[in-house]
Amino acid sequence: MDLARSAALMAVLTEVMQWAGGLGAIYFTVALVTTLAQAHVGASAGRTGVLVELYERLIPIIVCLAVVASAAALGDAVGQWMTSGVQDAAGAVALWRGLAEIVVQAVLLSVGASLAVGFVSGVLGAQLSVLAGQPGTLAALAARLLLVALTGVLTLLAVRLAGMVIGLI
Amino acid sequence: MIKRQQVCKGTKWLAIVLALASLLAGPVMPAQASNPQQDNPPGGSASVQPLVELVTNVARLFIQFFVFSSVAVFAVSVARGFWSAQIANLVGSPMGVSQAWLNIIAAVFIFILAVMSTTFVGIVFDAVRGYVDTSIPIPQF
Repeated sequence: MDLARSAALMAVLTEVMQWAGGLGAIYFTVALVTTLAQAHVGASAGRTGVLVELYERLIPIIVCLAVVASAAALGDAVGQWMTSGVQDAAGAVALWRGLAEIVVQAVLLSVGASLAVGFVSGVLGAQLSVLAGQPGTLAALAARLLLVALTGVLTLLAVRLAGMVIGLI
Repeated sequence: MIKRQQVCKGTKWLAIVLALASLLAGPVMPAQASNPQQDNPPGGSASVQPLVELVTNVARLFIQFFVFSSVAVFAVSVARGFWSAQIANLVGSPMGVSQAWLNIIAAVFIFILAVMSTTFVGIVFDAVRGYVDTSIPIPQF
């Protein structure tokens, strides 16, 4: 316990975090460049659905960058949970519950941003479809916005739904 | 000379629309999409706050890019609608002008949706906020 709180270990951890942050930034840059270049090559080759693939591949890259950037705070929180000590089964359950709540809070607090991006990107895609004269654009837009809203609301209510299911057992 | 005046008028309108879009998209997104939960953070959320702030900032960047792009696409869509109406009139197409009007109306409708989308997200959040729970229940078997 003393070792975990020693200044030497903290200095080493800080240095490791700085290295990891730098490596994360390099990885993010390379991944962004290669992803965009692959989408461009695919579009040049006439492949359809390039923007969808680009969008799907960009999201994990950005999430990874966000996790790297906030790794220090997350590490502190997990470290506090770990150093509090696990004496019995109830302590182990409480530890797992605390770790799970960190993940749940990170996801739920980020849903608002993803919901807004989903709405705006869907509408921009519909604008491009109208510009190109593609038929059925408004119906596709309505379905997409409904799905975005539905999945976002379900995600926000996921913990409550899980509680309801557990309560039935 | 007349063309230059028309271009100047068009540029002024584009600037006004851009300013309106930035007014609507800029402050509305963080105020309505992120604050409903930041006002009432669940217990122990300080550790995930940097992650959430970073995701929110990235999302804000994306939304500003999308909204400004939608302004440009809207301008091109309206111009394309009128141009297609002109071509349809020129070739004597019976449905050309009405089709062009439909395109323009769809472009206007979707542009309004783009500018107001952050407001819609705020409405959805306000409706769901009371039911959001982040504490995991532990059952007693």
